[in-house]
Amino acid sequence: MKNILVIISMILLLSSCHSKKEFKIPEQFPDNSIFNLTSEWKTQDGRIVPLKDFGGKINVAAMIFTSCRSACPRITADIQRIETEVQKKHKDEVGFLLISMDPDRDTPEKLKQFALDHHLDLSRWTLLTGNDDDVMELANVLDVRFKKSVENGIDHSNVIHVVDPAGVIVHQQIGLAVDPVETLNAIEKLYE
Amino acid sequence: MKPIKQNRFFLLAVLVVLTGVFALQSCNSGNKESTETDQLAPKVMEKIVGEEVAVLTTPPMVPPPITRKTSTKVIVKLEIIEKEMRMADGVTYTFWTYGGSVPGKFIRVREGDFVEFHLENNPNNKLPHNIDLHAVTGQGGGAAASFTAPGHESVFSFTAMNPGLYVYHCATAPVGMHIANGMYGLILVEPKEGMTPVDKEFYVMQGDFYTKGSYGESGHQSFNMDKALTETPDYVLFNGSVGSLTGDNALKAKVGEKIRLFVGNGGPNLISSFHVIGEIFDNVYPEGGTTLNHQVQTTIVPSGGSAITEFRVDVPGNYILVDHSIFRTFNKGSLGILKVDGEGNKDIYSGKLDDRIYQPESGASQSMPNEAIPTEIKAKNKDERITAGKAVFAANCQPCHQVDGKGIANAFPPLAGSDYLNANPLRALGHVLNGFSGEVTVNGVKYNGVMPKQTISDEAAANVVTYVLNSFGNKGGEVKPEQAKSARK
Amino acid sequence: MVYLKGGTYVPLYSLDTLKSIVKPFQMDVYPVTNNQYLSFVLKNENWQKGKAIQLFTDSTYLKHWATSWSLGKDSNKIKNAPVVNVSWYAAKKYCEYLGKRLPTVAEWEFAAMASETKANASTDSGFYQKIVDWYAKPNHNHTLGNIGGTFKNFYGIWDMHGLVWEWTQDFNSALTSGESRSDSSLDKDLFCGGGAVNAKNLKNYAAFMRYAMRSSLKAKYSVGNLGFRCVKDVIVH
Repeated sequence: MKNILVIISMILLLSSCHSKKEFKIPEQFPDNSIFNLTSEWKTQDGRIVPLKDFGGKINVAAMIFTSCRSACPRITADIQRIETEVQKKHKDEVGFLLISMDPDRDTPEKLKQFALDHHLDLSRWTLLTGNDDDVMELANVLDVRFKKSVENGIDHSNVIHVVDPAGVIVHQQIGLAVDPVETLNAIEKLYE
Repeated sequence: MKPIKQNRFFLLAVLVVLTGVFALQSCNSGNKESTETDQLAPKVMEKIVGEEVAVLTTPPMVPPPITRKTSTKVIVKLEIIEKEMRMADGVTYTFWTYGGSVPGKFIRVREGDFVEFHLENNPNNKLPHNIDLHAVTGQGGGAAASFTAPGHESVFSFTAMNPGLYVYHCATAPVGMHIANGMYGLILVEPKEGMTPVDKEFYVMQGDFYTKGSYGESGHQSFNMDKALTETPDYVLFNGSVGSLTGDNALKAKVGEKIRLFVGNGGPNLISSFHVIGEIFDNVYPEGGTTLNHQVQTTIVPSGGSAITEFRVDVPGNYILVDHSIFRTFNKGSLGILKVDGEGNKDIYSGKLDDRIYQPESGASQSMPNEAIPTEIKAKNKDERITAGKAVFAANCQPCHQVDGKGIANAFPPLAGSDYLNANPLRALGHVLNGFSGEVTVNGVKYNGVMPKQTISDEAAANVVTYVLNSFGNKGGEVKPEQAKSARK
Repeated sequence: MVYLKGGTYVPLYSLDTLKSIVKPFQMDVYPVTNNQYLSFVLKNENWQKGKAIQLFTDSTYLKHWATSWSLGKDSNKIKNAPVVNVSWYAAKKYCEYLGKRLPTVAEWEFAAMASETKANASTDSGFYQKIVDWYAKPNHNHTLGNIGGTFKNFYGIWDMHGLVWEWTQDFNSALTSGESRSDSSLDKDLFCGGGAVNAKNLKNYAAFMRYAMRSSLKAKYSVGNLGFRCVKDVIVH
């Protein structure tokens, strides 16, 4: 009994040490890739990037706004939970994206502060802000609904997306504090 | 391994003690069942074997009983269709339907089944819709998961964990309007052990409707929000239309058969007092649950709820399904008939044995205050009168005298080939306008009932009598509104 | 286009008693027709039926057209009818191509409050009963009518009601989950910060139906009775 356990754990250890998988960026993105969007975005460092620059690796993405006090910190925490699990197996291979739905207030400086406050490792995480029109378009592509409400708040749906290296959304985790097992499975599947 | 053994021993000891306690208790509790299971215990999920597409039926039909002994994956495909249909003779309405009928298609699954539900919103529909199945354990009963724009389809799944008869309905804003337009139906989750076999099963569902025009007003009627808000329906219907269960559409059975009615109430507002005239329900599962009640005359069917009633039909006759809030039946349409054929049994029911004079001290008759009659289109000739009279007949006379004018034996005299009518049409006109009570012989059969006066206009009264005179094998003729005016008392 | 000087509009669902301020804008007199949309796709190949990508359209995009470049034999019947079966992205691109944009929900609703005679008929129950009657009627067995077939409202705008549903720029701000009964207290786990969003006018069923319609949509959807029209900002010198 004990011997079997040892063997199993050794197999597990070995398999987790597999080499980093290289994903190719296709010459043309598939029809349903979010990288077909031509909009340009500003990072927390003020860099201008098109969305397709995030191609070639798996991304976990969500839309938030930094002055949000209830759900957005929880979404961020939910993604961090996914990050912890992913890091164990695929260290530094998966990107994490937070996109602001409140571009008027979320300047690059604000985004940077948010990253600091939440201890986000900016080698893996990128925070983006854009213009109203592009935010609306991206929200529609991601099936996120949002609406300005009282006291400068925004009501919005809480969705975490797994985007494959070609920009196709392969999984959506809907709601807060959801067990991330399905999301992790969706990521694992991309490694198969 | 040792500790496990100890545990087992301990469990055994507990069991022994508990059994003792139960045994003692059962001595005191008389007829109370001691074997009742804990309803709140977690449900054991059954193994799913195989896959099948559910058979769905249009009311009043019910899908066949489930003979499977295992749980399976059941695929249900239900299409939402917005369509204009008949609500009463001469009256149409735009119903929103699950599967093209009101109520929607009947769904039958087995406790433990894994149901994959496809809700399809027809591309020609104008509105988004969804479905809340009361049989679903989970948020909204599937409402959010099934929210679907026209020309799209939603798929969600659930396990039918609780046996019972459940309502399903639409839960899209404005919810009340979606339900008021007919978006409801029934789903039966048969218990694992199955249901006792019967000879006939039928599907009857009540609903209240709020139309722009009042009851019987002909033409296409639209939904009236104010009447819905004040809960004053113009129509209270079984299976979505006046006459859906009468005449050729009557439910049919033979003497000696066991009948099971799956009764639902979609509302949106009214609670039904469901009753079958001339029958006593041998069994009722109140509110569609598993408790069994016996010898019930009238059972409550809540809005958004159901009941299962069972009875054996012992003698022939027309058994009338009603909402015993009785004005709904005679003035708003909630009337159906179960027609039972076969040999009579005088020991069970004799029919009328004797007929004597009874002179009460005061002969107060029923009278209703005169109401203001709205202006209406006047018929220009006899043909127009007959056409208009047909709608008046359907709205006012048909529930008792029947669509074929043959009446109901022992209760309502026939108008078809009626010697009484043909002998003196003006006398009949008087009965329509003033009401009539007492004994009357029609075609050699004596009747002794009450016909209330009909609060209809001179024009309508003339039209309906003219219609009757020229229908059902009667001898013809025409009655004019002026004659109606002078016939009023 | 028609000039509207703007004003206030009370959204169906809103926490604040504050009304939405609608700034001056110009609006198309009619919904965009099949013919107009055809000339757009002839010049913008990316948006032709069969060429528009999946990210922006579903499989029923322009399904009532015979080919990618023509309306087919029904051309005479449908050329002046509003274009339907177009996605939000397509409608947005059409407006942008002409230097216009899609109206916001507030702008659309503001213009739609007008009856034939009144700028604000939102308290006129006869007016919205008429609209409800139209919404309640399915499209079975009849083709869409031509533009200009319903009524011209106070501002001179045609067909706001009675012909087709219309896309709006922020249609996705309708946050119902499709489970309208819980929408008075939106689930915090599904929708951030959504406290009690009580509808302002419980009797305005027409507004509820538009709201439900918007919340059932995704931006790539095509629907057989969903079209659009464009608006333009008014530049104040």
